[in-house]
Amino acid sequence: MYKYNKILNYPVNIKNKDLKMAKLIITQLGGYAGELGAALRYFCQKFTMPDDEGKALLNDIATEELGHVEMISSILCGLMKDASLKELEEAGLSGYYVEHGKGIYPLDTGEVQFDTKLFAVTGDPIVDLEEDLAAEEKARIVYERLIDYAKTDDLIAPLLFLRQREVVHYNRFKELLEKYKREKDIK
Amino acid sequence: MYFDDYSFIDNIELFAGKSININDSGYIYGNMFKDEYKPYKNYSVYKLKSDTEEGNLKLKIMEEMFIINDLNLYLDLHPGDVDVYSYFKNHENLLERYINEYQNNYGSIYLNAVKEKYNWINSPWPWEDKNV
Repeated sequence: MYKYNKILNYPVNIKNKDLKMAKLIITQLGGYAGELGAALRYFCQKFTMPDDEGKALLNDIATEELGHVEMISSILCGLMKDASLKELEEAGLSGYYVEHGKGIYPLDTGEVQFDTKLFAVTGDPIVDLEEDLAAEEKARIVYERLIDYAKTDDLIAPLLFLRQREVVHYNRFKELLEKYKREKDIK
Repeated sequence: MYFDDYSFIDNIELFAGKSININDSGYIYGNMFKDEYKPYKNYSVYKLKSDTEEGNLKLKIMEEMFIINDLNLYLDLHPGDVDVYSYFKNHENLLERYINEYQNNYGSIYLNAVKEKYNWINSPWPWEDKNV
């Protein structure tokens, strides 16, 4: 089972509201490369990993991704805080405000709702891991483009951290995938 | 050129026959492994510092949690790596010490640290913490 602790993976302390950035960063919550999809993808896939290494790795990365869901949500919270109705309207967020207020709701940049169709669970560990490698790469490049748009350190620092975690996860998944491929060849 | 700034993650043979190169200050890099760190453009790492004692202690906890988390992922695939496991255990001890110090002086991190008075609900929650 899960046990919560009141600590983020990396500090998030947004100094100023920035609705334009909020509208972009929200995709890392609910978009195709978002943290919510990542957490659910690995959580669901862990049940059909064939050995202890695979079960452990998928379980533990899924858990870390849940922490990233909280980080991204914290960033969004800080970016929307203190925004006025007029500012929300100017940023194209009046529709969001009508439906969700300043609540945190998983969408992409086009305000399309999060959907479990953003990820697959095939039950085949090699096929699942191929998807996981791609997912980490997609998340990495989206973080890079967000960093390109970000102007302040309070935003750039956590985005750089989250981007680097995609690199690490990619490497771990790749190691596991190569192990399974080798084992399959031997059979 | 269209793909000018496209950077592929290198196709490297991971740790083949060599022990891993741990970065002791890996937290600020987001990566405990020197050979795997991939910087983005010219961005450098941020040093983490708080204005308060509470914040600095919390940063230490965050760092230890990170070290344990990243080595945890590595150890999942290399459970027999005794060197990394020993590094991992040392940091587990450090984390326990910092958490006890924090929970004795400031507030709850875990529900089970709630002692005489129920202070689990006390702010700040992680998404509103201005100390770190």
